[in-house]
Amino acid sequence: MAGPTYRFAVDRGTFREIEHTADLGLDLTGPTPAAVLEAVQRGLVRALFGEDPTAVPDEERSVALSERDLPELLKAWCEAIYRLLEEERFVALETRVDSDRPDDFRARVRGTVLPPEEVARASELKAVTWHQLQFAAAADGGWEARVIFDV
Amino acid sequence: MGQIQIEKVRPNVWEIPREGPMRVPGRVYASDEMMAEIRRDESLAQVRNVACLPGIVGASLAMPDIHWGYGFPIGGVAATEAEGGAISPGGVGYDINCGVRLARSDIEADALGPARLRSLVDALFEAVPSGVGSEGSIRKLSRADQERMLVEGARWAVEEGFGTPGDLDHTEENGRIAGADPDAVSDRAKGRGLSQVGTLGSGNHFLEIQRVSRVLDPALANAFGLFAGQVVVMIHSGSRGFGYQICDDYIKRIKPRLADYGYDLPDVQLAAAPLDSDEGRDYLGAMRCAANYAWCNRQVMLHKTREAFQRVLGIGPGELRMDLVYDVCHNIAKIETHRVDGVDRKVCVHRKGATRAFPPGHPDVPAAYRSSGQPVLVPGSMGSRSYVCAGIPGAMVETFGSTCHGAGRRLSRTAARKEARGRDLLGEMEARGVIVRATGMRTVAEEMPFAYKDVADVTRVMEEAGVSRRVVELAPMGVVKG
Repeated sequence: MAGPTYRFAVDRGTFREIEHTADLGLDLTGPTPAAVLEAVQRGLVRALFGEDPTAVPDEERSVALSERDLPELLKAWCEAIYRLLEEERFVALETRVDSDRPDDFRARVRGTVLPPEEVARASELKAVTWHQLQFAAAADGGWEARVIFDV
Repeated sequence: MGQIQIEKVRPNVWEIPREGPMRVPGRVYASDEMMAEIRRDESLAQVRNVACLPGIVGASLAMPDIHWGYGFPIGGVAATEAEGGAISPGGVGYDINCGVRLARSDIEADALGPARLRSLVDALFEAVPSGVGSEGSIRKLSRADQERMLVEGARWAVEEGFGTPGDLDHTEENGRIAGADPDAVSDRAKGRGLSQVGTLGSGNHFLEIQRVSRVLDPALANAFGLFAGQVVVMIHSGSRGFGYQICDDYIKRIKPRLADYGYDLPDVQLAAAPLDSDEGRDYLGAMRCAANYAWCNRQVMLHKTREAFQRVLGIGPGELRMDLVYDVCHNIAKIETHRVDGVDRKVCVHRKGATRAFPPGHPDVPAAYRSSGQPVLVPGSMGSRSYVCAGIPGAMVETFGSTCHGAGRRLSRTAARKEARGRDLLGEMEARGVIVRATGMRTVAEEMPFAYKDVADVTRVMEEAGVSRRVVELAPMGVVKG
């Protein structure tokens, strides 16, 4: 049964796929850490599928993480999104970050469970790497981050 | 350290002089044309960074298929002192024991015909699951089975009926590296590995039906059981989610200990631990479990391949004679003895996107190849040529017994997809006589031949540098991709 199609009201961050010879990477910006974390969900899913999925969200998952700092939170968050796909075939389509504190991160993810053949078409994510991993306040007052995936 | 200084020291060999925190120089094997491309990304900086690893000896090496990785460059080789040196999970990579196996057959390519070839590709696509979340090639392992497999490697698969004892004789380390420690593996890694044995994965992994298109060294080809026009099968895959998780677990565990070890590294992804520390020992034990997992994985896929061939062609194993030529890993760290500064020393050789290439007479080369040298399997990009090479004595002098592992990417994945936009990629491959079955077209676009260097140039450079010799060239006929 299809659920509501509203988007969570968050400040939107942006993502940009960066050129990396072997792997995939994202540069992210946003007015708040929460916006950056919301943007990486969209960027990661697009990177995995090569396009924005057309599926409609009809289920919700909660994610809670406790990490040392923002870069480690960014990495753990990406891993959590991918784990939902790998283990439950659940593709994250929208995110609401309720707390962006690294030691008490909480988010709700809306998405849908895809058929196995759809999941198999995605790029396999070997890892969210530590290479060039960044997440910090930007000079212009916003927030910026970089993450590189081994695919 | 600023701009990379690199100078050509002899044909196909370049050196980055030691400076700043570098403990050894860097050395890169590449033609002039390759070097022009290599300079465009950050891979040379990564060669220089690896030269800062504690306990590194000789030089930080890069093979001609070098490209920008994370921490280590892909195509990197580094040997560290076994006593007092460091081991770096990033120097092995996430896909521990990613590797290649090649099986010969008694089938001649001309006898297959397009219809039977297509049936074979379809049968292999069904028999060997691929893509994200792929599982179910064999039953889900029990925890007890998994513990045994992590220690026994491909031997477990053979004992379970997935292959023959002869396969083990033709696998690096006989498909089982000693010292695996399942207790050093996290529950999360074990959980990810339970149902992925016998699956291909995604990205640059593949299963190809190939024909021997050119024999370059008839005597060595004969020693490897290869002849012109013969059908062979090449499988490229690794330790799947099990290995990825181990690498990630240990970088996370080691990273906060770097200051305790007195290590100051230029990239977190190079995170390393002393080999004689708890973290170093545990990583080595866990990494060896992943190495054994990967050999088991490729063993099961070979068994599934044999079954598919027999079913489609309606012949038995005696008529097919699909014997394993060899199985090599190209992401691993191994304790080996090498001559350094005129003295034999035990070192930990990290090969990240590099293949062992031991010469004739080396005690670690299987008995069948003791007089020929170890077969070295160098896959090209999807749909382009691959090579079987042989290790020669120069490898022990030049590269800690290592050579190239593949073509090496030239374009980023993003650039490759742009290049592929609007093109009928499968049609293009069929026009070249190659049938492709893929789980997703995205991977096909990213792995097209135009995204890679020419593997012929890569293997030629290593031959001219006196490291490995080309034996046969292989042309693709059918490709299964994740």
